[in-house]
Amino acid sequence: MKSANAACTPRGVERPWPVLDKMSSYQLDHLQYLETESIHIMREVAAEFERPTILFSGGKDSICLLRLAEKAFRPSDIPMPFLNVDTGHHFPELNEFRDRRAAELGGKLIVRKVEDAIASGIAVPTPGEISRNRLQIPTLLAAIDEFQFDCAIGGARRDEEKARAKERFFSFRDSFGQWDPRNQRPEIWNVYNARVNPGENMRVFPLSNWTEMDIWEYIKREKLEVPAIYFSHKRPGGAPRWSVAAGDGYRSAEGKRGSARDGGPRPHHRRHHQHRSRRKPGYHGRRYHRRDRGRARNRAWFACG
Amino acid sequence: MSVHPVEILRFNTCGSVDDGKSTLIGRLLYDSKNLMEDQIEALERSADITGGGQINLANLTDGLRAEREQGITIDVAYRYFATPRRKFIVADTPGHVQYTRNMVTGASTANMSVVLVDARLGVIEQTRRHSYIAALLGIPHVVFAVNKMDLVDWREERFREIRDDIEAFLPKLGVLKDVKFIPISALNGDNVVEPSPHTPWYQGPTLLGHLETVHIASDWDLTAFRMPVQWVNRPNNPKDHSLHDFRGLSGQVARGLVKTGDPVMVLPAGIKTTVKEIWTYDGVVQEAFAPQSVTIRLQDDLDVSRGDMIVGLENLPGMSSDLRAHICWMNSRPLQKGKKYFLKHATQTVQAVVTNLDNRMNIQTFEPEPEPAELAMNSIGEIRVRTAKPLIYDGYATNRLTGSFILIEQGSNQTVGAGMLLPPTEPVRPEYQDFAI
Ligand SMILES: Nc1nc2c(ncn2[C@@H]2O[C@H](COP(=O)(O)OP(=O)(O)O)[C@@H](O)[C@H]2O)c(=O)[nH]1
Repeated sequence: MKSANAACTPRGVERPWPVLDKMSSYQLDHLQYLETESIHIMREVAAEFERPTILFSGGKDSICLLRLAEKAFRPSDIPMPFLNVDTGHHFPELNEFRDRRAAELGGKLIVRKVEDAIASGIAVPTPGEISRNRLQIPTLLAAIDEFQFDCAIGGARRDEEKARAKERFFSFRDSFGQWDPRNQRPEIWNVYNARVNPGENMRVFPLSNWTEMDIWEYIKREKLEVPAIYFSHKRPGGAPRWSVAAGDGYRSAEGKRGSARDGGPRPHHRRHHQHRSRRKPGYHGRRYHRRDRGRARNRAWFACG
Repeated sequence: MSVHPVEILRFNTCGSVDDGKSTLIGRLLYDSKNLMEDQIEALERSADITGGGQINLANLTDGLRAEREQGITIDVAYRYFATPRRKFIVADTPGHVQYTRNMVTGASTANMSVVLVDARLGVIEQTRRHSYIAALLGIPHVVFAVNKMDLVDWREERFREIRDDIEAFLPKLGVLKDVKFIPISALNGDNVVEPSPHTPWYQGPTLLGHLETVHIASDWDLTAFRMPVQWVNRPNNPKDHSLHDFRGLSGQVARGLVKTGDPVMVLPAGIKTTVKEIWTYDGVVQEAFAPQSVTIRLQDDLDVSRGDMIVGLENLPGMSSDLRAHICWMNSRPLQKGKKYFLKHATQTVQAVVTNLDNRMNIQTFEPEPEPAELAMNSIGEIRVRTAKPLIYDGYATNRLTGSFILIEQGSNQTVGAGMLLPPTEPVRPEYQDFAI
């Protein structure tokens, strides 16, 4: 990569790093810290809401979310159902994984299909619209209404895009399901304000502070099953590439480069332009044009893995 | 390369508009190579176009600037970067005077505050304000990054002058424990990641070096055990018969450490029992410490519910419905005496009424002004609150999690205030409570 100015050359990262001394036994490493924060948030949801649900797509973030739910609530049952919005563009392997995982966890799985929402007029596609990303929103809102959910836990992270950097753990939606920046509540310490009036609800994002790297590391540490389809795409160089299930079936939005060292993902080596041409028709990736920012922001919480 | 544990350090940046905050964060993100490459490419493209060849590091965090110009909600943005030694969560808090509430929010979870000072301007009101808030919020580590040193010809005297000015008022703030001063140029990267050739007179660490090595293990207080009960864990018709009598109390340890077999007390009931088992999904453990999330089983089958607190017998917390606290007001409707709010403290939400406004802090002089009529948005003051049920608490200066609360406006459900409790006048008295058993 070319550098525009010598002063801006990344420095210091190649120099030999002192190996961290063994941590004291009363210290958490980064994944343990993120984990305890997320568990705390999940338990707050269980305790403060009447009818919460967990959005489960089968994607990598929601796979972590379910493990955190197990950690938060076992040995009890996970005290909320799983909700999946099926775009109809999902690969069958993903749906199989979703159903099996929900059954393993002993949870109730609710699936609502974009197709059905279109048929009943809840979701209205604009002519020529192939992607079902946008149509997930009315489908989801209708499901929230149908089951009177007052809270939906999603797997969105703040590092996904700049527009999300200010998202709250507890993100308030008015009775129209809308996100209004002026209505978001300051979050101080770990004291979360979960109060909503009837009809209003909350989106809760326990993974807010996780980076994509943390997600992969956690999957590895917890030995979590990831649907085989994640590994089925090969990049031109031959190394496996992760693809991401989020809404619009499988997207190749995130590259994964196998590392000789530990096989872990190296997100900062992502090169979007290399596989831009490989996108499926109708792909609306994570990158969006500036003027779409508002829309993307609305959509952002939705990409729950 | 061996795999070694990586800790998280959380810090917030504060400074006045144009002190170079965005440039500094951009520099840290850029130099730690953790940018998505497309962002870097976009930057380089714009650098080519705008000429000069210098990447505008502030663009990496642009959102806030645009908002500032448009005058819409300014807020706290969180950013993430990592080095092989540590992971960092940065709370990027805009510096404008009226955004005290944002700094309080960003600082509330921070191990460290990085306060930017423009070397040309020296100490200004914002510097005092940020220092005051850092002290009030009990941030364990504070760094004053004296920025734009290139614009004062890297003069050591200028750096010392600013340091002396700051050190002159720090004692008034009391509790700041670990304070460092670093001369930097965020724009050119001097002393940000690599030591600068321009500051032979400075022997200390670079900013990133300090972020990576500052000792944060003891930021959590391990001296007295507290666990607010969050959720009662009681399996319904478990298939595993050994779980039929399982009754666990789930929560996050807010202070200290507990071991299996330790005597503990459940408050507010004041009943003593012992810890039978510490259960986690990954297996039973012998001890738990802050801030782990665990599920505790007690020896006796007591009626314990959310909002109760399990505490160690040494160093008991306070328990009272009449409380004194510092408060930072966060809403455009001012805080008024006599008004009722919901108060959420740890895992308990209770009705509360503000019985008095004792003072409002004047941040220029660090002098409290007694008996203000109200506290407007972004003011900080001392108040008295009466709660419908007693809180089990520590002074905020002793422990953030058991010493803090939020006030919630009834009706709108807005979070309107951030409260920091003054220490209890006396600990809860267990001998009196013994009769209850
Ligand atoms: N000469 C010089 N200029 C700087 C330095 N740091 C920031 N600046 C410039 O100061 C201006 C304000 O910086 P910015 O990061 O946007 O400030 P913010 O408002 O605190 O985020 C920009 O034009 C920067 O290029 C520095 O170390 N030296």
